[in-house]
Amino acid sequence: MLFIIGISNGQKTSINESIDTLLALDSNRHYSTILSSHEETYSFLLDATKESPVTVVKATSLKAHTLSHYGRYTHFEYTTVGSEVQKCYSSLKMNQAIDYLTAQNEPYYCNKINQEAYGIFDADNEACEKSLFLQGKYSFKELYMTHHYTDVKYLTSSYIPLDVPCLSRTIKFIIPPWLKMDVIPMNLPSYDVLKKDTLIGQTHHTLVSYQFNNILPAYYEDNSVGSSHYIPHLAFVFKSYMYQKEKYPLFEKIQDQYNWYSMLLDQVNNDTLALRPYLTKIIEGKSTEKEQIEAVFYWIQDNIRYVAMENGIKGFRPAAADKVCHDKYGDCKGVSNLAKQMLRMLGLDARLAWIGTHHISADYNYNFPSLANDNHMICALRWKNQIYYLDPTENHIQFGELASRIQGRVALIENGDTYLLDTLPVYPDDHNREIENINVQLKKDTLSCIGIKEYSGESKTLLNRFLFETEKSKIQSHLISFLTDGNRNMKVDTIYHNASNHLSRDEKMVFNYHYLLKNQLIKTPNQLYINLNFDGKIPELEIDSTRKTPLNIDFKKSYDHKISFTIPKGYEISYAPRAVTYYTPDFSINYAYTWNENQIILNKKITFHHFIVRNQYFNEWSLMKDKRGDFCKEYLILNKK
Amino acid sequence: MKYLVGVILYVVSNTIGYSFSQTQLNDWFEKGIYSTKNQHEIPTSWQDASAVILYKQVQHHYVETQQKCHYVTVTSRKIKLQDYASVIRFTTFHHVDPRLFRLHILKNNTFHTLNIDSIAIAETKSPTLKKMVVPDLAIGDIIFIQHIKVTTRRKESQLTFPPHIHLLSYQYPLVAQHIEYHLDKNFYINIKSFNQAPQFSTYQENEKYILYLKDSLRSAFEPLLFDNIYTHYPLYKEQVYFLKKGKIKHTCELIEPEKHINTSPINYQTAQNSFKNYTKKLNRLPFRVIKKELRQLHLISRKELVYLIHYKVKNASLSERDYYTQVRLLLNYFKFDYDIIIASPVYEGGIDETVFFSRIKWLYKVNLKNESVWLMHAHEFQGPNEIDASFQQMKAYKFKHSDASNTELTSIEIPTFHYKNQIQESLHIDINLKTNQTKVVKEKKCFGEAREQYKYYDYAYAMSRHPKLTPEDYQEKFEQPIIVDKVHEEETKVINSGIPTENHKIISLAQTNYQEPLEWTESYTLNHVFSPANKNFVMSLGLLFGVQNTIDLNLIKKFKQTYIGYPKEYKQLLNINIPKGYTPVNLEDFTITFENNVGSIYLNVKFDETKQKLVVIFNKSLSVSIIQSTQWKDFYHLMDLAFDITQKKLLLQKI
Repeated sequence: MLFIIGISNGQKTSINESIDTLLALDSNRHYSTILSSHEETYSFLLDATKESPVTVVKATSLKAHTLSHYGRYTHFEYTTVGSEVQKCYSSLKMNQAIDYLTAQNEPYYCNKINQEAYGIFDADNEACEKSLFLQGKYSFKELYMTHHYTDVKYLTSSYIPLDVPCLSRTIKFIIPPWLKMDVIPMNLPSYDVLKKDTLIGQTHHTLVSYQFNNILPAYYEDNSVGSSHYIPHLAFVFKSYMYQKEKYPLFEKIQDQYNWYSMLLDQVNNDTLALRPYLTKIIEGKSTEKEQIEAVFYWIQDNIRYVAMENGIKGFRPAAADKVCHDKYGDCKGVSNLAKQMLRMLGLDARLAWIGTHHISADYNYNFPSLANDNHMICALRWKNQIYYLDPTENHIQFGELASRIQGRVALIENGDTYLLDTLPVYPDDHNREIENINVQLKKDTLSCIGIKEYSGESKTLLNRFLFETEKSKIQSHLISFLTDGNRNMKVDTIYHNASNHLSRDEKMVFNYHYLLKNQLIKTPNQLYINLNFDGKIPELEIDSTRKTPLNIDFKKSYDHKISFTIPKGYEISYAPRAVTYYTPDFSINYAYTWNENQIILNKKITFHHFIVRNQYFNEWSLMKDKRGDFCKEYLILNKK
Repeated sequence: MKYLVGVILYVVSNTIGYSFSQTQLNDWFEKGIYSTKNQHEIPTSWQDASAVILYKQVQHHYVETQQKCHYVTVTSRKIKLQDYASVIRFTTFHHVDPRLFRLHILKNNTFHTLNIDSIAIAETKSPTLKKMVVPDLAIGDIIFIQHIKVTTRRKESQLTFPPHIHLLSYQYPLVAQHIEYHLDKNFYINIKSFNQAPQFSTYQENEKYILYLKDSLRSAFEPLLFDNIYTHYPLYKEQVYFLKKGKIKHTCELIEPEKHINTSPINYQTAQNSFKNYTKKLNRLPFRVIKKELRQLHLISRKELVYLIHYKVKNASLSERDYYTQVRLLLNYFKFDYDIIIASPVYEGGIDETVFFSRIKWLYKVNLKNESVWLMHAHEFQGPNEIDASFQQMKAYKFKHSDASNTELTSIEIPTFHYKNQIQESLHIDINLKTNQTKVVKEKKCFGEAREQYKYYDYAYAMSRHPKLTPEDYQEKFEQPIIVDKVHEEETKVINSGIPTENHKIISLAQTNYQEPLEWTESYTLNHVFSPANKNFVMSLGLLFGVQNTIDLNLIKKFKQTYIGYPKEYKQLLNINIPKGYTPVNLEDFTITFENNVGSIYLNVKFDETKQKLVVIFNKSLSVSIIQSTQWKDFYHLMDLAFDITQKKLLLQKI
């Protein structure tokens, strides 16, 4: 009897040892609970009478142990469109297995988890949670939960690491003979995977199981890229099903995915008549096609606010163009659809395009059909033998410009019954640029500085967007904080800038400012000691290099700063620090002093060649930061002649 | 059948949390919107504001029904959107109950009411609370926002509603506002305006008491550094009570129910009477035990006895109320002459302006032969004569314990601590230029208010790290020097911007003698003090003085007084061993003597060539706890200079 309800001493010792061994691999993190087993089983149901004939039941069973006297393990089941938790059982007592014959459904709690619960994004993703309260070191309880997906296409992947360490993690698929599916391993090389395919008796189901041992939780750090870039997971492709000897496609090919998207577009009733008065006003006085395209694109950016309501099918189906135009808000699909409709009314070949931003790993990019390929929609315009991509959610962007997040990504473009795949261009490193020129002069023992700062590309777009959304009365004080980066030794007295709500998109953003600089100069009877490294921090370089996951810096960019110091009469340069140069495929740096009789110039250039810094360059990243730090600390010396 | 339908409707309306019919709610909405429809001119100086509240009306209704008491607030705001930031701000509303919410827009001189159901996100899982998105909103539009909040409580013989403090300024500047209270006949209110806010007027209408306040032209509310909003922003405070006739009890007597509406402060006579209630609880066990212990200490002085009473009673882990009872019993037992003082903190506006009885503190002033000892219960480490900074210099009332029938109150000012020498630091610094490491050994002593603050921080830090501890646990488990060391060490690390403390030792916890300092030593290593300059080094000497608070650069002017805690003086003495072969050069940059109306700074550096030692003295003091607006410039300059000193650099030249 004891053996049935508990675990024998022999088993206990073995599990405890395995737990200790696993925890020793991750001694930097502390856990209060651990899973000895976690099993996900996917089984499939077919009801051909339904609009979505293939449904899925995911059953999760796990055994949680406490690592101290008290512990709480909380299991989260993430539901999305058309999916919900159905059953939830757990052990009634400590160290007791679930008795499935008598088990009663238990309460669990679901909460919305969209990242901006109070913001402008709304979706129906929820985290349903059930907690197990544990008492006594290594004691355990079991949990069983089922999760029903009413449409197989919404099930796209399963991530291997869990919230706590796990000794044994199994993912099983009971694949019926009528279903054809693929499982694609992603980011798995570091895992010891045991895959088995077994035919189950007379039903001809195939049991495919993936077994992973000693799984530690993934790292989630600030400034990280999306999970699909680096966290091990299995991607699912549900290709087709058979019914009465007929084969019906699910997402076998990209064409199938496109067909479903296309069907959703057909359901949108765009009232172009209602758009006509708006369009007439927008293009008033614009005679050329280019002017008209720009007018439409910029009007949408400036007048339609980004508000996403991605609940249910609206996560996939655009809102009607006339509704978006009237309401003055919409999500990426709504604003792109509005751009498409208005441009078509001008007689242009505008289409919708689905695309995955850099948040999604490049391994997706429509290499296989999956709803996980994209998370964004833009408008593709075929004009003058070229495809122009218009993303109206990118406020203040110029026509013909692309935001970094979609550069190099593959777009799935409408093309009637078929589709086009096109890879978006990638801009050079210095497209997004911050140039600063500072002229420093010594006036009566005080350093007086005149600075000019220019922003172009995405650096400019982001700054312009920030200023546009800042309260009018606070712009000046925000600009001072921005230009001085909070350095109180810089006493700004004047700022001139062309930053305003009406900055033309093809202008660079320019700041001219004057300030006095304190505590950067030491004057002795015969010498001047000065440090010209006082300008703002490079925010990317503030990020700690002791991290585990790739560092996301959002977009490629270059900082090009030049600080000139006019040598006071009667002085000459005696010492200047040595130059620092570093190059890797992800970033490069070049800091150097040059001088002549009248002037000392500090040139500082940092370029990020990639939107991430990959793990293999972390050592160089760290070394570069140290070398740069040493250079920036060093003082110049000028001697009296 | 009619009865049955009525019962069902009643059950349904209560099940969904609604106590009022939609007709009643609509009536409130209509009245609210009607009042906002007048024209309102925006002053020229607000043309650059993000948005302007043209009119705001708030109606507070206290309604008695057969079994319940309801508190209903109907708020109507008319706001002009003047930039894109405000358009974004008012585009979405979250967690809104559509039945208690209305939106109207005035666009191009056309007024229209939005259909709330059509702008709510229908798919939200919450049955009542929705997210809403306002369509077609643009700069220049005027948005009318109305919402009703209903709180319902079961009717009892007496009910106390929570106290409220209402600021009269908001995120955006305001042109005009109208605030009303409608009280059914068994509700009573204690209400008063502060800081130049207009007072409420009252009238009676059909057995209802109505109070109203009209206000206009308020600048936007901007909480700023060191501000305590209650000391100077126009506001009013109110607390409402429900009293069923004939069932008036002690708590509510305080608000003079016979007047229904009390717009004057607390009745101190009633406050004094409440002491009598406490004395009925005389013979509790801790009193007997403590009395017995103290009686055995027959050789101690009168002053030490007062101290022992304070510590003994506090260590008995009694509530604040019981502390006062027990201390009073012991003072009586040992025949001390003492006064009972009632006071309220600076952020409540002082004793004459206190509206909420619960915010009044009691203190004892024990009158010894040559001096007085003040006893107060504020936090776990407060000793005798240590009065919370927010009570210092405040007007209070006192009355003699021995004459309970004497209701005549005399005013008294609560004394302030002397701010001199509150924090003393002695730093011994060794430098290794090869490794760029600066080893600091610091001896720190804290007296007076600073001592209490540090001890309280230790306690608060320990409690935050161990949330399951009760204050009693803390007393038991953490008031051992070795454990305090650990807690304090962790806290020091936080103060030193994450630089780990290498050695930490508490020298004195100063638990029983208030004149002793809290004293400890700590050591840490800094690696960012030196910058090379060829063969020489530039030393960021200012960094060794520690972190300096700064004032926002935009805050050069201030129009209101600022409460900055307690007056204080820091004294630092740095002994720095300069490496052989180097000599400090620009010592004249480190000679500063500065004094103004609010404080002083003294900086002096001397280099002893024979010992190769640099001796730095850095003293700074803040001599006031409230900075008047006329003193702000002085305060700003003092803080700016103190920060500037932390940025100063010393050249160590290779000889």
